[in-house]
Amino acid sequence: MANVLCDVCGEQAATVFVTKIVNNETTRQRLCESCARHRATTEGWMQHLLQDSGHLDTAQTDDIMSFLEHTDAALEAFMDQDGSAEAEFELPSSTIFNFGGFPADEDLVDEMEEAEMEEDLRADDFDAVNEALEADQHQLFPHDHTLRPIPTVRCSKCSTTWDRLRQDGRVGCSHCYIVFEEQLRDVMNRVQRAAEHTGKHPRTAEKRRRRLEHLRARRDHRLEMLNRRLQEAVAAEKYEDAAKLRDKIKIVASTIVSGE
Amino acid sequence: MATNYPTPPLLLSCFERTAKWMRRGGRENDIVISSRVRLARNLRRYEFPHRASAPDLLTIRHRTFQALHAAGESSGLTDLRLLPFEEFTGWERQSLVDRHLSSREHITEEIGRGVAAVADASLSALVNEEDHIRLQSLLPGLQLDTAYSLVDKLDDAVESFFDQRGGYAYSNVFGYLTACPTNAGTGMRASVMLHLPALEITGKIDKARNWADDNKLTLRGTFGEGSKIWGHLHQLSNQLTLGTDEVEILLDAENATRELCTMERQARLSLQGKWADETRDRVGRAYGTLRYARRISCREATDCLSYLRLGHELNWLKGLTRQRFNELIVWIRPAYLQVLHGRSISSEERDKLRMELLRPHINRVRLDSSFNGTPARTPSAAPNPETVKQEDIA
Ligand SMILES: [Zn+2]
Ligand SMILES: [Zn+2]
Repeated sequence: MANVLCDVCGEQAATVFVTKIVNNETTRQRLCESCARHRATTEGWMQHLLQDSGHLDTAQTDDIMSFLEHTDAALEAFMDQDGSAEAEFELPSSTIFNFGGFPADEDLVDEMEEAEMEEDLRADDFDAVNEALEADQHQLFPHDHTLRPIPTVRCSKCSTTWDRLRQDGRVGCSHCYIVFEEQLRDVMNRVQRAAEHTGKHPRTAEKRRRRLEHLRARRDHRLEMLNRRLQEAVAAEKYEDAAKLRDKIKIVASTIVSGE
Repeated sequence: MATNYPTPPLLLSCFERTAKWMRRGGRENDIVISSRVRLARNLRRYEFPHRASAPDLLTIRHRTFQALHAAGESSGLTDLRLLPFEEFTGWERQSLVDRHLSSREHITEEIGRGVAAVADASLSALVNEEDHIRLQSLLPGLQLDTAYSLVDKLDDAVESFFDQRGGYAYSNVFGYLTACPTNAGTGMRASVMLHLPALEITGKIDKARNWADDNKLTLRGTFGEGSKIWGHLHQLSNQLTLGTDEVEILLDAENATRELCTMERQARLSLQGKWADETRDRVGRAYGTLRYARRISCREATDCLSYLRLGHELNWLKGLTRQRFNELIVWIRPAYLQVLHGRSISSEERDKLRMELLRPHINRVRLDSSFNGTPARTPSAAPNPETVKQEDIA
């Protein structure tokens, strides 16, 4: 995944993306965990944030990992390690928050959505998100597994539990399908022909994915070629050429094909 | 969303009184009234409608209307009507249910629900019903294939609109993700409306229902359930949505429909033989009621019209076409009458107005000569002991 640096400290990878809309003015910030935590408390938008993500009521009483706990745990994990360690983690994809209700302004919505698209592209692949989530949990509690709350498993986006899902016959959001994949597979195997989709795929998304794959392949191919030439230049002791090639490689390597 | 929709006209004027599905078209028209294909789609960014916040619901509706508008231009669907429910009264919304453009649960929700449809209702979208978007195509007769190709095209257009805006909720494992996991996968519901009076009269409808169930299809009443099915109208639809693809679903539904048509046709043959007396009695009574009653409930009118349609199919009467039957079973609905008159009407008054609406159409109906006088009894038409038992099915 592409590393975007924190807007505030400029050092840490930004993992929290905040879109604030106050009086029809949009401000976007990309923050690292610690700066986000700091900002949130000093600017007083933590309450909004928790409200927005539906965690306010349950934050104290419940065993779900609220955003607050996520960030606290993140800070602890970060401090436990000696600075150089990778404390970078990503929250479940609810890391984009809108403030001030939904925007009345048409352009604003478009603007926001463009910004969010970046995020969506990344979350494109359900498996990738799933992996990221699992990775989160390990990094949150790298040493002591007893810290981990014994959870009633809840969807991290809509906080639906399996019990509720069963009672209701409905899931809360699309993320529930990831959280309860195993249970749902069981159900599907019983009531459906199979637990594997064989029908239509979203066609535009598929086209876009193929286009990205193509771009990525081209970039990788180019990198390979440049590296080969670099090796040749070094072997031939053409140091000036080698320096130029190194610069080129740097540029090509830092080309981010969205979706990575 | 702060969008100002133009001051709503009366709902009725948004649509053609005769919807596409009421007209001629499709196959197996003696039994199949209409074909419908529905695709359930959700947006990944938002929680499902039953959990989504009011602002989200409004945004989803606004976006979906935009998507449909954009799709309309490229698919030649310039006639799109956008109906946010907040702007319509309860009975106006109910008339959408009668026209198969919404559901009871859908219209009773307060915020952010709506429907978009072309004037002849052949293509429509239910917004924030159980799922964010349900795209639907509704055509006359048996033509699930055409219905699917229409809705499939619309689906592509809507998807490409949302692709840059978070995209559909979709996973490689479960396919299109839906609020109710039993719809996940293709998210597709293919259904046909069938007129099955003969299977009901001859007491074979339960057998047909079980047969459908064995084939992973559901056969249930269009209006009313179980023994209270109105007008012998039934809905056949697929149960499976995952582990199968769209083509297979369509083929299974189509084959089952043809099979049920064969069963109904065989039963209709026996209506002219063994069951002739019974059936003529019912058709004659239905005609008498519609001809001379001053007030009539919706249910009774639907049942009577159904018998007239049966009489028409058996060549026992003239003057009530298939299209007219299709129109009338919707036009006599309580909400439709209220929309027609632009006001809320008491049920007593409705029963009178319903009769007034029906009378000119019934006046054109002519029974064949065998209904005149008392037909001579032949031994084979002697009272059938089973006849009595059949009374409560009607
Ligand atoms: Zn920072
Ligand atoms: Zn969920």
